Amino acid sequence: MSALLRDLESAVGIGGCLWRPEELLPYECDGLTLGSQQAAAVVLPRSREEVQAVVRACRRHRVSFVPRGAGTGLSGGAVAHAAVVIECSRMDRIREVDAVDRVAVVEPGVVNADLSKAVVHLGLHYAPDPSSQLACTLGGNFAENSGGPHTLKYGATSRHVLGLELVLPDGEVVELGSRTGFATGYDLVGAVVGSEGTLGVVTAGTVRLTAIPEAVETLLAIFPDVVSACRAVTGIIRKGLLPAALEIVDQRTIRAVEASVYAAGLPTDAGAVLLVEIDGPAEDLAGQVEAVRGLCASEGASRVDVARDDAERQRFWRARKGAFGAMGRLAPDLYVHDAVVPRARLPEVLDAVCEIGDRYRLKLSNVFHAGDGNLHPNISFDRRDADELARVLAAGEEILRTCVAAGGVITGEHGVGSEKRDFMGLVFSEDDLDAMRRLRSVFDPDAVCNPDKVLPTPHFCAEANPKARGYDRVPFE
Amino acid sequence: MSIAALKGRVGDVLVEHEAVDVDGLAVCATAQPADADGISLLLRHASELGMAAIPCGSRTQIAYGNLPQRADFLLSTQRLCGVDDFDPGEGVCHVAAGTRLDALRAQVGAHGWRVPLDLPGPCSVGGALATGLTGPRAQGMGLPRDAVLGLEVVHASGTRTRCGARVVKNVTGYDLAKLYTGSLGTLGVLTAAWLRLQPAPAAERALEIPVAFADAVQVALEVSGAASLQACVLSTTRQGPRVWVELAGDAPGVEARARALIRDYAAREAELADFEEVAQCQHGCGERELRFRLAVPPRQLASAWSLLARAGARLLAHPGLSLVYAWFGVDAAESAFVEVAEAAGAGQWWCEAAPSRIKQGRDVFGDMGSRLPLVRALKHSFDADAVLNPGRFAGRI
Repeated sequence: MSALLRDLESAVGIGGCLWRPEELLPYECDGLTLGSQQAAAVVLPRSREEVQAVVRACRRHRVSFVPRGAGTGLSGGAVAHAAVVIECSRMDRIREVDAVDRVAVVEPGVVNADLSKAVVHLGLHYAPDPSSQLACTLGGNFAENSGGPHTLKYGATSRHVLGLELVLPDGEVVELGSRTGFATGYDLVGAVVGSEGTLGVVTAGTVRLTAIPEAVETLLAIFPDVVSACRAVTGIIRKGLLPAALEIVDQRTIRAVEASVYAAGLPTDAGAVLLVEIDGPAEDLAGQVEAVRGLCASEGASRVDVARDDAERQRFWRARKGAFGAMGRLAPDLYVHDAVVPRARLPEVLDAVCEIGDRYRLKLSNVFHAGDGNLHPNISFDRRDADELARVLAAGEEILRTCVAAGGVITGEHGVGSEKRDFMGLVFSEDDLDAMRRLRSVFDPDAVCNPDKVLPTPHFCAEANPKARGYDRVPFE
Repeated sequence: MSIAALKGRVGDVLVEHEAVDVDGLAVCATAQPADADGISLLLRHASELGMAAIPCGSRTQIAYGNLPQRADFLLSTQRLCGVDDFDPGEGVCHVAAGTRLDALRAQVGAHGWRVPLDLPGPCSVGGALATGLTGPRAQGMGLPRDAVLGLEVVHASGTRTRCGARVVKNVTGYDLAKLYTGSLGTLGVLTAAWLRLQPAPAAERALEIPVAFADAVQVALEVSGAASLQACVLSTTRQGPRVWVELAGDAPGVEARARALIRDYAAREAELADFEEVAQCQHGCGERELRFRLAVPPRQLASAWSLLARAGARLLAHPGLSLVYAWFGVDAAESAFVEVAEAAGAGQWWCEAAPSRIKQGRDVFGDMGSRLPLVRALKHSFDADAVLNPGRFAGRI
């Protein structure tokens, strides 16, 4: 056993340190399964002090480290070659819930959905709800500034994090933010949320709890094609309505869902469905439902159903939330792409995305946060087929370029990670990226914390480099 | 050094030579470049000559901050003015930093949108974002940090950068816009912003609730949690404490909530203009006064309120935002800082306005705790020669 492993075991105990090849296998990738990276070791600390001890051990041995939550991330952000993975799942306590201050203090390993479950009896919930909320952890959500269907009205994670306890890459602890969200000095919470685990290891967070809305209405509109569904979305936004969620599921996804255990009774000949959730004061909802219904009809919706009860609401959502699981029926692998465009450009960009998928002979489907302009083109493929993998990557890059050309960006909620690091130049100039490097160098001057993520090497041209991203190695094999 | 040293080098820059008092420091010139390139050129030459600049917009908040360490000129963004991209179908706009909030409000308001920055109309967009300050409507509209989708910045070296984008959801790279918002121009001069607008509410109503002093905070906190509530202000007047609320949203919800407040709290109808007048009180400060802002969690709000009242402060609160404003006379300045720190407890406090002699030797941003080394290092990383607003921000950086 190496000196590093001895130090790590001493930091977290024998059961908290994994280093045998078979133990490291689950950590070779995250939700992005295009490639794999072999960690030096995985540690499972139970406290801030253990995280500090791990970080200090890594420094002594000049080894990088990578914070990791549940590994549901989709941008290859929680993997690293020859680095120590700090897996936070054992730090899973909700330290405090205060219904008066409407805050909770949580450890990074708390599962997103568990927090809302723990406070529902108080009439409160934690608003950010990524699709993986049954598995993903809040530490991962902080790192990625995770969104979800209800981001449209309630904002992404950043709006709900008031304070953070952060172990810096030198092992020191710093308290950022405050219980009220107001703190003197620079907005360091704002800088750390969404920094993809590159500025330190979050060991606790103070988050805002939000009142459960007084009333909710959920509508499901059936459209002949995805472009008319997109037009309905832009019409709703133009009208000044602010639904809690505006989600589109396209025909290929509907068919996959209806053939799966998530079947929601949707017509499989529908071109697309638009899911609209409206919440707020009960008195306001009837008018908003009618306005949405009218807008959908004017864009060609053949039917608009309003959920009559909670069971029907859950059925409507099943089509959306079960989509990724249902995709497993189409092919062994799924590449969940992520990009954002101005909402008014959705119809034309969707057209272009579908054309790209067809041209590369790929099984491409769309299920996405239309209200935010946040596209998720999903490509079903078999990673063992090298030719298909190459087409997936080429199409993915072309989709990004199309979105950027339409005034968009390369990620709306999955993060840059290692997946899109080399495409940052599509969006930002070298000077823009230098400003980001200045921030990073303040927190992590030696670049030991989640290295090779987010920021490209200076002057790296925007070009797919599958080998650099580990896509030449198939995970779990 | 005089700004005359830059003459002939920096292109189209209007220079006013009328001295402006910034917290006791007479700054002898105000440079007004025509555009962001002009700011870039000016800063490049100014930093080479070791000069220091105080960035400003409409100067409505120019007294906010610590005493300036030094300043050779004010750098005004007033000529960077106007909205150059606004799609009413999209609800976002690209606005130059010197644009006044009232002008922006008028332009987007005509298309059914509102600007989620709650400061007085004469404030510039850049000033609102650089200070990060807000009025009570942030409860319904969100904080300035949440309104910013992207920023364009000129750094001390003259380098121009951009962060964020025009889209409403974005995690592409570090969120530097959060860092710049509220940084008082110490990391760079804001020259333009992409803002996320909000649908203008169909209905707004103001109500006034007379309360007994002992119950004031409790009632204000109860009322603050109501749906459709855009803002809540707890004020003290000669007639006694009052809870003021502004409701906003669709007409049926606003109407129902107003009826409930009238029924449950004996609320009285008020004019929106009256609410506005109360909301504006937070910005006032007499020449012989100090104004503090405290951020105190709801659980501690009542005790902080009582402590400050006992200490003789005039008070105002935005309970839904956890903010309390306290005014003290200058004669009580020494004890005021002690009382405010005690009332804030583990919360935060700022001295937002005070005569210069009171600011001498103090950090009006309160205590940053373990964050101070990071804040200093960030300032050094972005502005190593302390060209931008030296001394004025938290930690007197």
